[in-house]
Amino acid sequence: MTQSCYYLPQGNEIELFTHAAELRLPVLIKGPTGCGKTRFVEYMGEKLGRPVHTIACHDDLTAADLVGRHLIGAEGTYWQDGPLTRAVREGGICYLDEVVEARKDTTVVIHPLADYRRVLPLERTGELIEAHPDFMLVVSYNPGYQNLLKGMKPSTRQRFVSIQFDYPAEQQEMEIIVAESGVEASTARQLVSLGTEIRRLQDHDLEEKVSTRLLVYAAMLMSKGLPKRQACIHGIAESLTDDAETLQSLLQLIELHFPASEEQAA
Amino acid sequence: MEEQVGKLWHNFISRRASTGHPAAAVAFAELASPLATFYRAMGGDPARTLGCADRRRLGVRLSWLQRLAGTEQRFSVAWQDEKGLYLPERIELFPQPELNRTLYFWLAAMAAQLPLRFNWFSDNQRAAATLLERYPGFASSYARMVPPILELRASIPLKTASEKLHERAIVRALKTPLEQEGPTIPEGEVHPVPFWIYPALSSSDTTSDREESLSAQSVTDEKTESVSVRKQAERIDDKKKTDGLLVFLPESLFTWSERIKVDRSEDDHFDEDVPFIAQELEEITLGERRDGLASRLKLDLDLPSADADDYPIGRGIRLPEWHYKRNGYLDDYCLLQPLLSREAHPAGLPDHLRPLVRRIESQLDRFRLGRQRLRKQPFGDEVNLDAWLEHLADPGRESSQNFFNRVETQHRDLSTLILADLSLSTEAAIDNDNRVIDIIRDTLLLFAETLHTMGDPFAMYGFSSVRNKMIRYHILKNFNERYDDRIRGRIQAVKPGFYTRLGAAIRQSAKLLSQRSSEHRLLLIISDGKPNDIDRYEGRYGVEDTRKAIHEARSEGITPFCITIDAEASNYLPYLFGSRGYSVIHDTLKLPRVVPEIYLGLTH
Repeated sequence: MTQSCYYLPQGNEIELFTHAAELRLPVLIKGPTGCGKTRFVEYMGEKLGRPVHTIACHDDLTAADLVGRHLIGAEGTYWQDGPLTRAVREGGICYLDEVVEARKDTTVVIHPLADYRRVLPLERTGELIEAHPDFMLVVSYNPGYQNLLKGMKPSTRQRFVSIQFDYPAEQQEMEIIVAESGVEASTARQLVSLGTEIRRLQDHDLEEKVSTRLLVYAAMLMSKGLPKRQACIHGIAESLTDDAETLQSLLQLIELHFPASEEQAA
Repeated sequence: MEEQVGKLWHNFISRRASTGHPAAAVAFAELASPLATFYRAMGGDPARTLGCADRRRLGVRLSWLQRLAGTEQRFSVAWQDEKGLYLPERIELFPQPELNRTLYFWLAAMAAQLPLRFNWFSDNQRAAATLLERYPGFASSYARMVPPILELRASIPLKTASEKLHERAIVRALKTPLEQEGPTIPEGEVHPVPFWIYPALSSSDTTSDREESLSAQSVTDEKTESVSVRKQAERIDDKKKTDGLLVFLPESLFTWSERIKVDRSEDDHFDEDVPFIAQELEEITLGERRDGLASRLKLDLDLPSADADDYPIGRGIRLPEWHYKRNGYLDDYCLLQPLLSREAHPAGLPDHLRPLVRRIESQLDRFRLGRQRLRKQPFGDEVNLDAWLEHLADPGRESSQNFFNRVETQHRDLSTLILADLSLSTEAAIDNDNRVIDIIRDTLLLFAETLHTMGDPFAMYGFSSVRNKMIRYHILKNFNERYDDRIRGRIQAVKPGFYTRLGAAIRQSAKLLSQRSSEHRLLLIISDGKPNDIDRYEGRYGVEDTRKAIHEARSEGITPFCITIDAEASNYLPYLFGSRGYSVIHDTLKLPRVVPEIYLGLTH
């Protein structure tokens, strides 16, 4: 692999994604936060040689933000393409991150793009754009994080090829941490086992599991020379919870893996 | 006077004899919550709760107190059973408070490593070795904790050869765990090892098994005898097991003598005839576990006669139940009977609720489904002149060309089923004027008014149970009925029922909800306590069945949410509903006002 973007496959997702791209099928990626969804899409974009247009969806994201709108300039109004329209015209991967966060009307523009028609109707200009052969729609969402009213409609889900992501297995997660941060394997091992312990607390004590991303952050802080315990406190514990008692337990866990005495010795 | 002198002497002698460091003591109560989290993180069973080991030893102190009266140290030891992990009330072994504190975490980690049944000597060593190998943090503090303990142990006077042999083995095991397998040393015959976990008092038995055997005893008389004999033997066994255990609580010597009296009075009954013994033993075993209430109430509650009872609708619905030990369903085990109240007459909203309803209605205006005007939008039906003028005045900012107002029709496709716990415990009084049931009634009324105003479809049910064959499922309002005075009358007729077989009620509610075609389905449970019933449905069995029922509901695409007034709910609700799936209301009187707010929070 001569790619600049690092990604360690966990299963058959690369093969699956490649097939989907060849068959021009849209892809839905589900998985918890920080498990590598965005990284995977970027990696695949690079591998397939297609540009990636990432759109982070939020409460106020309307169809107009995706498709484009009329603006008023010196010589009257003119149409400006939105990021989705640009990707549809020029080809490339359009990645809608956390798609359930977007407003309902966005599904209207996604639906015709996500089935056999592969068209984007521009209501405002009356244009009907056929998708570029290289255009690919990828959406992601985090099933664990949902408002009651922000689920994904079954009719939307059923238009996608779905890939489930989860945090990598211990050995792989260790490899990832080493590759991303350059810390020693033994440190990475401690970090991963710390991660496993913290993940057991999901639902009961923590809202979310600790992500691979956070573990990598902590490892990166360590590789910059920050004492390991400090790196874990700021990179992991404080980011996960505000609750004083849960925090105390997390600190105790960190202390087990990276004792303060070691820190002083170093 | 005599007592005074005795007290002084005792204080003096116990302080002299004490090898602890009271100034550095760490109490369990300070650490309870972080320890529980830590225990779960280390892999401990999330269904177990953490408690104080001390109180459990109440009945068995007498014998070892006599045997070991005098100058030796007394500890309470850590142990765990199916329901929980029990740690010493306070630890003051070390002069450094942080070591005492670390010992708590060490014990929690050890307990998480050990299975329910284990060999005290070898498995503890194995667990310790694992912890030391895996966690550098434990390794360094263990190295600091062991020498003072060995020093203390060196001063223990040993008499027999086997005592010396055992003590040597323990010392070696503490220094380097797992170096030697050696002979198994019974935990009752050596001085307590503060680093190790002890087996449960009676590890062979659990609540449900015991109850099953006890309910079986009514079937044949022969069985009765064998059961009672087994009980008695077990009890003696208990005492033996804890003979060597020491409690580090010199100052509480006087309370012991008081408690001993209680114990003796229990003993007196053992001379009675066999059936009586059986009965008494049931009391004792249940009493020790402090959850005997349900069993004692067994005789008190009778179902009303068919004439006086509510109208049954249909012949009942059969539902499965989850048996966590068998790890499988008991098919058609529960019979759920939908009921319509006989006493319900159409009634208006009670006067005392009117002001509250008016207030909530005025707050609801902005949540009501309907049309909403959005200003400064990129598209819309009319021009927003302010935005246009702003743009003309400052034409540089092209990106924010939001010149329109738009009227948007909002819609929400949500069905809600409210399931109210109408168990006997709702009979409890809160203050002079209100019982829990009154508050639940007001809550249901107020919430129904809220949902009616908002136009969201909803249904309301109440439930209580008497064993698996009589789960009473009161229909207050189904999804198709209109909300009117008839429904208000039904809600006002709710009364305390029996027990709380929550799993079955959730299964039926989920079934009803899953028939709705709404995009979102909310199952809102209003409860006042743990799931329980008079049969084995209590403690872990009930919790596990309820948890399973909740998982089933989730997999149907239903969102369960629990609102409870049980102050201790945070011990078990996260396990059932997840950390965001419930809400505890500490002031019961506020419940009617809070429930609509929670609903709005959930759905907006």
